[in-house]
Amino acid sequence: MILALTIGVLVAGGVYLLLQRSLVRLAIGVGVLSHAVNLFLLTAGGPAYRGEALTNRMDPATVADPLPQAFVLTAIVITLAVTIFLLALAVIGRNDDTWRIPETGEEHDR
Amino acid sequence: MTLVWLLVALALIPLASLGLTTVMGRAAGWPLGAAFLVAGALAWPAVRDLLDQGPGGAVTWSHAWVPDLGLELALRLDGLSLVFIALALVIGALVFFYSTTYFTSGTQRGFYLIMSAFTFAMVAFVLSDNLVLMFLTWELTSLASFLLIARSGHAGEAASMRTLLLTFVGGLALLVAVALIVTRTGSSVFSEVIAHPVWQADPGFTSLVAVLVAVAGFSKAAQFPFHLWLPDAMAAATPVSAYLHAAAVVKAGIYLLFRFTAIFHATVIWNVLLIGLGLLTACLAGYFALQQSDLKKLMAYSTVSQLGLITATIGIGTEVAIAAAVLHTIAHAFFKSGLFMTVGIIDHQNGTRSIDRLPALRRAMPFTFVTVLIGAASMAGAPPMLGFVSKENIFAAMIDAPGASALGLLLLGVAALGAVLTFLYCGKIITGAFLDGPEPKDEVREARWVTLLPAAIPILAGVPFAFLVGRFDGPVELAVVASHPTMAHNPGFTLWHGFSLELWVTIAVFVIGLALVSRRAVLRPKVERDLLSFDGVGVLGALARLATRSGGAFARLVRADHPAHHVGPIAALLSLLLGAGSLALWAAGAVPAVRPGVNQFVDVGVLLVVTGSVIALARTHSRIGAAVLLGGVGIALTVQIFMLGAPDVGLTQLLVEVLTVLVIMLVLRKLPVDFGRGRKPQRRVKLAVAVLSGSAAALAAWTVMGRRERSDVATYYLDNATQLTGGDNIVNVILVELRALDTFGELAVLGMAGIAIMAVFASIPRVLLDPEPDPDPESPVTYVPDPDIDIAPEGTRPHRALEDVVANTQPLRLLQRVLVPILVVISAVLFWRGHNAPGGGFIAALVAACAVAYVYMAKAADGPVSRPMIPVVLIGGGVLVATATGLLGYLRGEFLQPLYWELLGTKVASSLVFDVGVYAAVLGVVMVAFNLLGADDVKEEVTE
Amino acid sequence: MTLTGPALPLFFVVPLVAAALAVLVPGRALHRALLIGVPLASAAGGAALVARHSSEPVLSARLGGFVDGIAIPFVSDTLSAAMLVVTGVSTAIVLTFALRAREDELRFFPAMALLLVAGVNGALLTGDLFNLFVFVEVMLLPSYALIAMTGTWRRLAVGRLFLVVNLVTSSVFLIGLALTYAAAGTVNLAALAGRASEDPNVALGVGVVLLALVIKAGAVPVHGWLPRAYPATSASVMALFAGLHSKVALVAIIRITSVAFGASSTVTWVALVLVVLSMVVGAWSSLGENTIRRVLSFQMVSGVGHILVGVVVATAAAQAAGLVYMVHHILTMGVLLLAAGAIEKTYGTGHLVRLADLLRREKALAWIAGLALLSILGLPPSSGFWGKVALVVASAREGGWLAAVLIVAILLASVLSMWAMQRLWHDVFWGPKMTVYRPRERGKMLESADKPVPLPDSVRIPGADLVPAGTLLGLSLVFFLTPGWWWPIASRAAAGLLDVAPYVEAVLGR
Repeated sequence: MILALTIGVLVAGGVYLLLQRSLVRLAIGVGVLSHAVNLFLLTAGGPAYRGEALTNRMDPATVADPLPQAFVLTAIVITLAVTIFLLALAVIGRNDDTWRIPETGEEHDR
Repeated sequence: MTLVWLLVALALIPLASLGLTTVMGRAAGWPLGAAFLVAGALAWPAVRDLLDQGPGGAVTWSHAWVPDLGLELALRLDGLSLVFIALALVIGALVFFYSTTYFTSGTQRGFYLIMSAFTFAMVAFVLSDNLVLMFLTWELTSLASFLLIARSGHAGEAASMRTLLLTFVGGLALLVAVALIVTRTGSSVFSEVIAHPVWQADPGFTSLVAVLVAVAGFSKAAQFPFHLWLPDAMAAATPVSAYLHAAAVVKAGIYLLFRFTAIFHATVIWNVLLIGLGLLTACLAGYFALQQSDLKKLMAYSTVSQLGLITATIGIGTEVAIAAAVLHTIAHAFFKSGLFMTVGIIDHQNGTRSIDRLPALRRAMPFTFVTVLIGAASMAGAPPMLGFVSKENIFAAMIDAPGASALGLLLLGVAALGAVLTFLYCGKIITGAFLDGPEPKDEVREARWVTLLPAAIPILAGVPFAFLVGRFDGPVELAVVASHPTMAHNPGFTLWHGFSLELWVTIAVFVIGLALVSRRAVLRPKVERDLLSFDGVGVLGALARLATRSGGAFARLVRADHPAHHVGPIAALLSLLLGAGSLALWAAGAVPAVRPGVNQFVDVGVLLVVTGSVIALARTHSRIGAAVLLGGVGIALTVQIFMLGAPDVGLTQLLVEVLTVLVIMLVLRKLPVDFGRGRKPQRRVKLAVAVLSGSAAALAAWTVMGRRERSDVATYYLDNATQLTGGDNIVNVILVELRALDTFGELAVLGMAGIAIMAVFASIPRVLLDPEPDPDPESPVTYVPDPDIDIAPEGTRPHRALEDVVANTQPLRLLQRVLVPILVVISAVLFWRGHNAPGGGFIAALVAACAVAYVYMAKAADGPVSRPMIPVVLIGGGVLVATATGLLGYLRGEFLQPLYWELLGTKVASSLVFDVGVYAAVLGVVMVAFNLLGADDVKEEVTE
Repeated sequence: MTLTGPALPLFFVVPLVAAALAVLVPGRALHRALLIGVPLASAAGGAALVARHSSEPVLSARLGGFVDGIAIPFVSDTLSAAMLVVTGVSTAIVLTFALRAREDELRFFPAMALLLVAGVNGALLTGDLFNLFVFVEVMLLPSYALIAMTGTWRRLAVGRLFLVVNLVTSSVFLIGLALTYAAAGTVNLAALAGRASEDPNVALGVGVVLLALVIKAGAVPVHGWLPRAYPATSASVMALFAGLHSKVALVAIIRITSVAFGASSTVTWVALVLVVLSMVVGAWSSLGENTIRRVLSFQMVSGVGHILVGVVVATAAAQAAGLVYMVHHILTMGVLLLAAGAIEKTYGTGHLVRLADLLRREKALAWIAGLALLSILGLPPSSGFWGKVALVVASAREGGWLAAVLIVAILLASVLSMWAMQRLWHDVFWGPKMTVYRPRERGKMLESADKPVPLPDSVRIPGADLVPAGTLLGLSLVFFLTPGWWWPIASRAAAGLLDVAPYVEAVLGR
């Protein structure tokens, strides 16, 4: 229940930021949204099991599902990569306002 | 088999035309035309065979092609196809002969190519016994006629487009009809389809198909409301009109109607459509023809009206009617193609074909005069012409049409009206071109015989044909039975059949006609006034414009480059799916009970922190503040993740968060302090969408979360992962061994992200990477001002101390000597222990990345942290190393299959090498980030 | 050599290694060789697979050699193999045009293109939903770069757009995965066989995954990003995307629906709405656009609708028809986009209002473009004819009002497209003499910096620029002539979608 609420809050925040003008704000929105997604994935294993999945010191009764953790790790890294790329795009042009096209010294026609 | 040879021969003619036109130019018409006749002769055995079989007979050949698509190469020659093939070949030949001298310039390669290709398509269409094949060839004939109109220069452009559109619509109707028939009867072979019981069993279906076929036929045969393409098509060269628009393309439509008579002759809607629209077209077009002063346009409308008459007669569906229709088709093909060609001649000799400008040509061009006179007479149905016989028979068919006798008389009346109009425009041709007007100048004279004969032959043939009309009984009977297998019928055509009602009608028509023609001087101006304020062309154009405008509206719906415009719908759709979906699950009671222990107290704390910082994030307009808050959210999440028993994820999350914030800071150096502010109403909408998605996501999460046992896969991992791989850290061994492919892909993405950034920066002028402040005054943004530190006055030592960057960063660089090695060691340890405890290549690399960041910050000036090529080598090398490890796996059978060996007493896996690849790639991409986003001399970075 | 299951990963590995080499080793010759050779090689491999599948319907690899159901599976059946062939060939041809446009000289362009190929092949072959996510990302990352480094002045803006939309879509994909795993306890496609139709909880999860793929495919109502983003890049990159991105997403949609749902009324309903909207709105919008490639981009949206008919009408005939249409669409779109590219390269603009009278100047181009336009409309003599016939016949076979709706939509879309294509042809190839053009500096990609100058009559498109488009058109014509040859393959692929037992058996060993 509570985790679900956390996810909801994060999604709401992420979407709100994603609907803004500034690309950096969009990037932050992406960050928040990906937090939500990661949490979603983690809880998919069943939040009732919360033990660390380390064979030598784990309690079979409570140990958490390791697979979603692996998923999240992969997802985090990919998001990091794309976010860096997105931020790189943000510095091109005079500012990061997505409603205006970055000046590239080219003629503006539609 | 002869049929195949016929088609092969006809298929070769277009190819031959390419060569012949190059050799003998437009004179190639002679051999090509002859080739048609030869090809026809090739088919003689089949024809012989057919005639021997008598009524109901057929010569067939078929070869399976794609059964599933109901497609097979099935050819069938019967009485009906015979008639149309004969017309196509004979008139084709004549028109080709005519073309050799009609054209006065150019090799006419394109003309001969497309014309002969058309002939092939036409004959193939008439021969095909398979519905799909029929549709294919049908479309080919449409295309050919489109091309022939389109190639006649600017004049033909718009017209050709309209033609294409209208015939395309007809083609679609035919396609649907074919699909329905194939589906319902399970056969695509026409001769089998006819016999299928469904036509009697399901009247609704039959009517539907009847309408579709009728539409298709109308579109080709230029029947109302598709009639307008034929006058349009007059933009094409005269030979084209003489062939396609008199004898071939339009007749393809007629042929289709004949063909399906067998199925629909008793279907009411079919009779109504054909008779009603046919007669309407006959009269309407007759009137339009009367309005024309351009002889060719007049011919076009007269064709439309004649075809209308034929269509109506087919609609009657009795054997008498069909016989009459076949005969009139033949008659019309002959006199109309001839008339078109003679009009071409008149046009040639006088430089105009407009009645208003033409002198009285009867003396200057006597032979042409006689020819046209005979042709017109035949068209008007005057004895002793073939047209007379066919017209009489049509009247007869009208009279004894099935149903009330009154109906028959009504039809006869309308047909008679059509006949009067026909008589009038025939009169207009004769009087306009040959009788009325001034005497022509002396240089106007007959065309050369080579031009004149091909034009005259088909018309003059009408006279002997009329006297030998009895000879048509056989072929026509074959055709009737072919299109109407249920009943045999000997038409018994005669030129003279006594004073029957139809003859009296004809006489009446002529009397009225002559009376009106004699008063033409008075009537013409009245008639030529426009009947309607609009015409079909205008309507079509309006439709197209409307479609285009509305299309623009549709396109504008999504015409925006800022992401929000496109993210909105996605978010909305997602929340719809999630929300509605979960509610449906609850409603269906499909949601299992939640397991105990899902909610824990610590989560509440996280929820509160997260909520707080998210709200703050949404509200703040300071970029730096936003970055910090994002970090806050990240930390809170990390806590949550640790609480969920995922130390590796937690560690990674923490380091990634640090790195992300660092990069954001790098970026912010180049950007305004504040975000621009959106407008209020928009803010509300955005808020609504956001809250909606949030609640939907929460609902969905709650619906599925923690409601099942641990999954089998999970259990398998927990039980076997360690003895499979010798690693205790199950998550890590999943990453580097059990699901190494995911990590492999992830590594490719991450590494190549660095390359991608370099690629993009390399494609952009340097100035854009360190932009000047925004000159645009109305934009709200302001930039970080240089700090004016006013502790000490200019020139004093404290002032110098503050200004001296190198000295200021000295301590950092001193510390760097200690700190960086420590970080490197930690990174190494994390890397080594990854298999058994939280850590691993990725985490280790992130620690090393912190070292890189530190080096960057300790620099006196914003400079690159490494030589530009180093990250490139790291990334490329990382990928290669990982791949190599993967390929090693093939030693044991599968890609990425790990190898194990003992080292220092511990079990070491090849995945350790794999992890090296990961490490290198991560380090590389971080270096790229600092080099390109951090340094100020970017351009030198990327372009060496 | 006969291909075995374990060899499947090479379809992804070889292009990836090539990409790494292109990063590390300089040398234009090498780069060009890789750009053309690698896709062709993967096409050849695909052909070998197609041949193989006539005897053995499904091949699979268990990566890492772990037990079935644990190891990530790579699976190849007739559908994926055929797609390998088609994408490989079209990619190679498109890239030859990229070489003509000297885009390979852009820094790291070869690496990005090759990585794209790697991602595509992986996404076509993987049998695991999360792994599919990874490979889609492998496809997307180079696409972000390609879209932002080639094309007109707007490329940076749309680069941002493309990036953000796809980031969001990826999040949607992951949410779907989370739901699926939470409900089903696995993300292995074979293990999910039929589960979505049994358990509504699973259905929700898979449904969200499908939503993500629908967005990537560019179906109405979430199509907006596509006609904005694609036309702003260079013609060759757009052609690359047209042949790869949407199509991979579509294959994934077809595969996942048929495996996880089987025949499901819910899917039918939702898909019907998407299909009809995409067909009609796409064609209609293409009427209102103002550059060649924007018109075509909306035609792509319309094409998505046509291809997904197979999902609505889950019969062998319809699935096969959809696949046939997809192949036709890849070929024909390629022709038109490359023709547009050739025009832009010589005349410096793709604006309908700025082009005219090309019929007189460019006979060869006119033939190529003309036939391709007819193909789009489903008129002979090219691939489009069979695409349309197969779709209409298959829909009719379904019968009932469903068939009626589909057929009416197809007809409406056809007529609208007819108008759109007529407008295109009329504006570009007819009309008054062209007086100015915008010549480009050698190897310069950006359109709009070029200023209009008087157009000398000597200016012509170099023949070599038309070879790629011509080649693709040739393939389309061959496709028209050889239904007897490829239809059995199509129906085999469709059969693999209807009866998933062999697929499951190959992956899970049961």
